[in-house]
Amino acid sequence: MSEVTTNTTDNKTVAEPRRSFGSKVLAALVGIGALLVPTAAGFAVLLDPVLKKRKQGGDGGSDDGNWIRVASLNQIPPDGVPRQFAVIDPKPIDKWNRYEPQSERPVLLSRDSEDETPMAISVTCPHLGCIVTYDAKDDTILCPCHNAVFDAEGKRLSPDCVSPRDLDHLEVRVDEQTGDVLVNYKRFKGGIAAQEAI
Amino acid sequence: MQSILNWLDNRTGFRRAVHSVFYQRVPGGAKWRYIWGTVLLFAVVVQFITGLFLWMHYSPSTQTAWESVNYIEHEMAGGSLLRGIHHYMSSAVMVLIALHLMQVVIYGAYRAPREVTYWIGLAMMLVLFGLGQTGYLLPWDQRGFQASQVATNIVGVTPGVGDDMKSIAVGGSEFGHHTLTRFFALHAGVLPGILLVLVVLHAAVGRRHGYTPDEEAADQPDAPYWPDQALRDGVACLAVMGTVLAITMLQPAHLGPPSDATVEFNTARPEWYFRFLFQLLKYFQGASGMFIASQLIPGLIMLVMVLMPFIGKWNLGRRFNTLFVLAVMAGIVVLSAISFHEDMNGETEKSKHYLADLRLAKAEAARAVELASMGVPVAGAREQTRQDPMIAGRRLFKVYCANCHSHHDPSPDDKIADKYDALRNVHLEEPTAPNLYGFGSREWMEGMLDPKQIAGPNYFGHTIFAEGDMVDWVNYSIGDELADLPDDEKKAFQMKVKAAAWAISSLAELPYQREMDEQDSAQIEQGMELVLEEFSCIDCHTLGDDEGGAGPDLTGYGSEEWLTEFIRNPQTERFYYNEDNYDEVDRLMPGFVTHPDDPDLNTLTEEELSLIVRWMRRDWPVAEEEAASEESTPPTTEATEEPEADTSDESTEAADDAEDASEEADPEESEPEATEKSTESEPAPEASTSEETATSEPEASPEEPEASEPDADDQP
Ligand code: FES
Repeated sequence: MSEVTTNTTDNKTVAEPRRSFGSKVLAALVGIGALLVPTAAGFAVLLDPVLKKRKQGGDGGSDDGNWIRVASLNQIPPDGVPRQFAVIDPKPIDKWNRYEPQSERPVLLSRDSEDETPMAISVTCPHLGCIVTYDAKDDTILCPCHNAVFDAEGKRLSPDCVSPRDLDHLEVRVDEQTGDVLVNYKRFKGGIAAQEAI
Repeated sequence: MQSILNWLDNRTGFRRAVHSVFYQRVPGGAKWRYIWGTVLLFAVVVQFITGLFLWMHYSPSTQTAWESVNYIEHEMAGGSLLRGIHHYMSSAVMVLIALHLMQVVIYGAYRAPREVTYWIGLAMMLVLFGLGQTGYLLPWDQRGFQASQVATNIVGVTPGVGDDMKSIAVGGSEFGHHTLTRFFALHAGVLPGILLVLVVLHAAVGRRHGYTPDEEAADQPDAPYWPDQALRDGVACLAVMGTVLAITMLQPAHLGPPSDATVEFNTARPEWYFRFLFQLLKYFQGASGMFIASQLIPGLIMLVMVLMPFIGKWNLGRRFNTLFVLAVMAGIVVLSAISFHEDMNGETEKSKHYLADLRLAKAEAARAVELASMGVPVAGAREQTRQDPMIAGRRLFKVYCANCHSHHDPSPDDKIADKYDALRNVHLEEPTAPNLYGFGSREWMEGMLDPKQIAGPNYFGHTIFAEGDMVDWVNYSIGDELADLPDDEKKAFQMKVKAAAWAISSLAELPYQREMDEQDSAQIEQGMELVLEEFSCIDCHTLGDDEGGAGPDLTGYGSEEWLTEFIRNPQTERFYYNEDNYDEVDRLMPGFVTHPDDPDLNTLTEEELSLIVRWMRRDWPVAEEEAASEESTPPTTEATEEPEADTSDESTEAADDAEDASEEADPEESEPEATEKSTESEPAPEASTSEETATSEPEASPEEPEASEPDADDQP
């Protein structure tokens, strides 16, 4: 209740209260405060992907990795040629939904000799994420999008390659008894020199 | 900075616009009674803000609406808060509308020159009602779904065009995808758009005439809106916001079980602010009555409201207006109060049913949330609940089994064990067959071997078996036997009976008894000896390789296989069909899956049969976090008493003695001998028993080893 200095009933001029600075600050704070609550709640939900890290696209991401069986050892000839193998995500999820097993992006598997553990190369180009393919003619791996070229082991062939790093390798494990080849399936951030799992 | 603002002002004139808002004249100076319009506006703005963020995460289709709302509510950061604010603020809007309206009418603010402002306000009120109604459906839970059907049926009784209007609203004849997309477009697009236009008009036209002056304060000087009135408005807004926030924290917004039109749902009620209409409908019969209650009466009230500026031209008219609005408000309050009282009083039969159904709906909702936390299949949460043994099994039991069987916790105290309690019970008032609650469990078997219970209502009391051989046997071999024993030997004999009950119970391999059965394997083994030898159950019953007589097969009694086959057809030699009841077959339980070759002729499908069996055995999936928390574990056979204390040498000896004794031909003669020896150790189980009973908690879970662990320390 501020005191009023001028007293007029004129429609045009209106009394300007004295000592109103405190009221002004308070009014502004109170008004903003009231609107801040719903806005903050809204932004919390909007920022949910940042605030709550949860793994999308499969929940196999436990501490010991996301191991998926992709092939039998005898399906990989010991000739050093990378071949594509399908990766099946056993438990795909998307937000509230859980799906039947469905395919993920494939991997390239190769081995040079019989007694070598196969090498697994992710087909996702580290540049901007297109899918690379093996070109048998030149024994290279090509990315069709911006023409990155890698050798059969995934190394960049030229120093001015658009890709910031070599193709990503995935961990491989062979079950001695069954001959199953398992891959620790991961995705990595694109566009940066360091290999960083998503 | 100043020059940029000047440049902008030069082009837009924003300073004048801002000035006209902040420095509008407040007649008689700042007053609390001027706040209502602003607070209402604030509440609506909050709905716009929260609604926008909810929109970003809501997915309007029959397979994703409930699922996405549930995901917002239970998985997303701040989701419950956001949804809670939106939910409760809609109630606040309704309260504020009522207050603002009453104020306008009482102060005669609708009179010239503010008629148009007033009419725009009325239009806004209708739009806000529409927003409340359409928003209620969007979560697609049972309550919103069923209540919205009532609402659209009301539209359907409009004379002449009702059916078409209803079809347009629903997007067809049945609720489905297009009902959601239409309601959502109305709720998030059309109605807010109209509202926005109306708000701007209301403010613009309203500003032209300014606040309605306070008649009593006419002699006081005017003041600018900023900052004193603004401060009052701000404080009021903050108070409303704080209240809504507090309620949200205390009681997160309701989300019922996923909608399912095929399931009976007796707790469908409109949101509280439409309760009066719901109640009004009860007083008018027939189609014309429905039209009168739901359209004519509200329509007439609206008409009077629209005409108020004209009626209010006379002094008497103004008084009429005031009385009219107060009467309408009082009517709404009274009708709402009656409606809530009818539901919640807990005394009338109707209310009791309502409250029971409310508990069930709550339990189903909690279960649906748990299921969703394990991932919803693409077919949606409704399909998920339809395949869940806990929810669907109970529903099926209710439809197919609860014509004769009750399935309720017979323990006399009315305690609610946990949030799923209602889902484990189907209470039939006048059963004609046994109460199957905990069928095959230790408690259930103990009751079966209890002369006081076996012919009672929870077992064979209502059936032809009330005079059957089993009842005779229990009365004679247990009841009479016990009565003849000296007092100090009674306990030992009861322990034996209990051990036998536990042994039979272990055959069921109930998931909720698994750990207890493992733990008590020694007692169960002893109990099995008693079953085979002393009690000679196999004289009548087949048990494994021991062929018995006419009694039902005890092999795997209560197990999934046994129960499935039993329900499939109990009128077989394996179960209840024997020479004693050939002529009473129609009083035996009928088979439900009796046509293996022609599934169409069966009462139940294989899936339904399996769901019922799994429900009775409480064999349902549990989410990981749920499994970890104790409160959700199903209640056990409480107050587990040890039939035999197996950890002390004495009691093992006693058990051996009992076995020895049971090998002798005449149980009556051998009995005293056995019990004589076992009495040496008898105080032990008794002592531990009483202590365990005292300490065992009502919610003791089967996983709790303490519940059934013999207290070795108490052994003498
Ligand atoms: S994405 Fe592969 S080169 Fe750009």
